[in-house]
Amino acid sequence: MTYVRGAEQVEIAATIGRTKYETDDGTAVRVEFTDRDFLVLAADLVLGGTVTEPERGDLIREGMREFEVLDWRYSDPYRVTLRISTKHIGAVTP
Amino acid sequence: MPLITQVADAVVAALNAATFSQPFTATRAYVPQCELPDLKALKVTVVPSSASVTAAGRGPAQHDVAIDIAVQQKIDSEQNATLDPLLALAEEIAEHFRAKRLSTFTDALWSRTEFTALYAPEHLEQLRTFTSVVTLTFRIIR
Repeated sequence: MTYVRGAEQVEIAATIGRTKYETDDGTAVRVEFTDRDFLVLAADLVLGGTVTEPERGDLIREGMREFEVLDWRYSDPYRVTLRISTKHIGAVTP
Repeated sequence: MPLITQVADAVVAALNAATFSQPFTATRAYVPQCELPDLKALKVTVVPSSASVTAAGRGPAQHDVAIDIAVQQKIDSEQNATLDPLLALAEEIAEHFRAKRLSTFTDALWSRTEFTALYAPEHLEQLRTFTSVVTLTFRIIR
């Protein structure tokens, strides 16, 4: 997958941690969404030559599908692997 | 056609005939349901919400018809500069109907505006999406 922040991007190997299709009806208006977690090695997330941590609003592109980063955490006590929580926001804009 | 959907259609017509600070095409729906990718473009949905009927004299009845208008958009930033214009649009929509009759259904006279959800914090937090719901109540005597 491709991890994107602004004009910077990096190709990273990722494992799909979880994919769920959910409906939010917490208000009068219902929004349906696909919720997906990506597991990546923290050392692989290098943007602009620097190892970085995910930020809310970053994008992950998997094929033609685009996901927005909403949250993240380390998935192990040694901080080797990141679990990045995203929501599908549509197709990649050419 | 049911009275409440006639009113909802008249609200849609009024919204689409007017000019607001941000362009949109309003649609009517029974269930205001959409998928997250659909919200990249500003979406305004008009939904019949509730109706009550009370006596208005010996013969006629007073119908109070509530219509929800949902304003939604996926946002790139949670900064005030992004959110303020969307909330302003919801206010513009509310103000557009105040103290007026619906031009394509003149029996309906505005009687009340309520921001059912000024904005939905859970949509901002979990979906990075702005959602505001304005409920307009129109009175019809017939």
